[in-house]
Amino acid sequence: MKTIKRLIWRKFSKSLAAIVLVFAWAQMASFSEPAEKMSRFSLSFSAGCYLPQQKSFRQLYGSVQFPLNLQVNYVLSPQADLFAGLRYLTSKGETEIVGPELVLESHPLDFGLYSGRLGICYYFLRTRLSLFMGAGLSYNFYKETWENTEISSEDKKSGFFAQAGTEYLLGKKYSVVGRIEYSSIPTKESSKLQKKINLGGLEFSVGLVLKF
Amino acid sequence: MRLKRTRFLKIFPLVIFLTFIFYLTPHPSSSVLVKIQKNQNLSVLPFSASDIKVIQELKTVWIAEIKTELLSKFLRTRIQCEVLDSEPEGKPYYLVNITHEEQINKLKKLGNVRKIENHTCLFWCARENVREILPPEVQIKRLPSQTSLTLRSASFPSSEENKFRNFPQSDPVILQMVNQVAKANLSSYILSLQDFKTRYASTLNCEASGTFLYNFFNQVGAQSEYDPFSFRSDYSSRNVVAMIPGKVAPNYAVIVGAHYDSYSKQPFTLAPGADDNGSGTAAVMEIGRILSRYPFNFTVKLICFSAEEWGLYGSQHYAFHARQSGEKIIAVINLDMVAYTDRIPEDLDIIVNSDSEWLADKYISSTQTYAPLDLLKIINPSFVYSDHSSFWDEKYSALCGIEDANPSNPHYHKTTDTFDTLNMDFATSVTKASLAIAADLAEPVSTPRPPTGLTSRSQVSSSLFSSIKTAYISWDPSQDQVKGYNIYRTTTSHANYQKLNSALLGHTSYVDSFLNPDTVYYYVATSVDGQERESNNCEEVRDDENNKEIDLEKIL
Repeated sequence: MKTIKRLIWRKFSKSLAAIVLVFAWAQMASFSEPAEKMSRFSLSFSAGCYLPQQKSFRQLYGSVQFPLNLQVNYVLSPQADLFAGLRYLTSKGETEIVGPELVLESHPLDFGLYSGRLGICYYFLRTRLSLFMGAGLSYNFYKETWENTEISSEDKKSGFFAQAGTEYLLGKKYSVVGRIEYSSIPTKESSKLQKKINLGGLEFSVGLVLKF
Repeated sequence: MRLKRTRFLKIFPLVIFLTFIFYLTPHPSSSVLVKIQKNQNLSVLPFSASDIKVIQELKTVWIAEIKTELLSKFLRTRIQCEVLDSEPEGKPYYLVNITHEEQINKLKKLGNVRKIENHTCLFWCARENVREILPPEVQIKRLPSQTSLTLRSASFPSSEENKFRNFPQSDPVILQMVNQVAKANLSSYILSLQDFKTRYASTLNCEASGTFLYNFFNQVGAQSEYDPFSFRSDYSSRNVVAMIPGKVAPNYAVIVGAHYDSYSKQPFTLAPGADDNGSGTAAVMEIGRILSRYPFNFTVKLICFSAEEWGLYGSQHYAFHARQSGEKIIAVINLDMVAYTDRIPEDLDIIVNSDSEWLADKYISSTQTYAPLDLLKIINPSFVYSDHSSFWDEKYSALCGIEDANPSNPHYHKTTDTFDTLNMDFATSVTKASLAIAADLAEPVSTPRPPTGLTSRSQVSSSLFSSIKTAYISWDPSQDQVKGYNIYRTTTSHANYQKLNSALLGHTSYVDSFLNPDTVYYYVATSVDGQERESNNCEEVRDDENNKEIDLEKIL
């Protein structure tokens, strides 16, 4: 009983801390000075940690991946940006045995995911410290190769993503950006390991923004 | 007025509520009999394929029972399906072969008729003696009530795909067997069967002819037994099953069969049935006489079915129980009317469904090797009017050898179907060819002996998008002095083996990699002695045959 209470308290306290943090952040941002002039375009480069949502992906390629993002934003209004970007993820792994295991058998794997993305983001605040939320569509090319064999599979599939983040102005032309993003890339393919493959997951990234 | 309105307002929700409850209440489940076209994408079924009880596969359609509540879902999709009967419970249905449209009008006067395909109708009526009320010239099959097939894509592999790449080398032992087929014996058997006057199932004469066959097989050294069954509500009859047990793998059987019952317009008094099917029965008797003198790797069963003319009752009984008991049947060779020729030279029609096409190819290759005969291969799942069809229904490989798929014998189902109308040279050639394929499939025991203790275990390796299967095969060293081993693989059990090793294997194991994990593979091994003589195949194993043993080992 005590354990359950402790668990509930722990969850409650974590949620409370998160709410307080976001509230404080928003308050702090609202007191910040507004940006003097708005640049029409910005270019951002970010890198981060990607946590694939499917267990089978994690089994084969590890729990954490490291994708790279390149993104161009166009300011539509003080509240909204249109953005387009490229995302690149590559990983090495090993095959898994499904069902009865007779002997240790594994084949090295090479996986690559290349995404073109288009989205829109909404800024709650556009001050020195900005908060934003965005969503968009992605068009993805993926390829998985069994090294040293002729087995490979590749395809193109569209997906969607949603993100939230914050941007802090370092100077007139520079800022740093932090994002948390959820993406979904459903495919119609399947294997003995995974019936419906989805290449999506959760991603945390930080990057540098150049405004011009 | 106001009072009425208030009352209405009170009652209206109650009516709505009761209607809703009625709608939610499960209604007693009933089913409908439907015809589903094959040439469409059935992967978009709005429910699991297992909800459909497919009772007959034909060339272009399936006949199936589906639940009434699923019908609306079915019709909403673009799947072409037609309701044949809305109340099928407990009704006996018959497939009837029609050669011209006028026959449909005749059938309509006798009962309910639905056209299924160009030459196939579904017939049912309240009367039980369907065979007797239908015109004698039509062929019939009672739809199986116990079988349930699976819907699958309609694939008809071309004959090129499954063609035997390597024609078998002539086996002198099989040649010796073929040369023993005697025309005089065949003639004598047909005359003996004809002498029963009638062999119409349900008559005493039919019972007597069954006893005659039982005694014959026992006399020639094949262990025979009766396989009794009942049909309609008040009749019974017997299949006669003779067996030559296999020496290496007796649990696998090759069946050579024919129906021994007969029919005519006077079925209770005179139905000589010399061609239909004294000829097929005589061929089975002669094959039994010869094969019973030789040892084989696999069991050979010689079966004379009864009540075929009533709608395949005897073979349906045998095939259903074979499937239920897990009987391993390599192939069924059904001979039905093999002695009448309407032209010279006559060819034998070999009729198979797409799953049994390998067997037709095997028949062709065996014939070319051992007993020259003109053959016409026909892939037609709609030809269901003989005993092979009962084995198709139970997913066994089977072929029908018949002089003409559309009976050309003017004495068909007539009292004039007698010995003097037959061409016994043609019957002899058919018997030789059928003996050759039966012996070829059952494999005469040879020297050196095949390896024993073949085991196969398989495991699947997978990435996110691709999976492969690897089979680990091993066997016991041969007891004879051998130079090495060959290992063969197939995806069709007991047929189309492909050699895997390019050089003779000196060890007793083999790893077969990069296999399709969704395909079942079968393996056999052979021994090769110092004189390059190769043994017969050892007992076949599935790629995952011994996987269960691994689980047991883990538990222990």
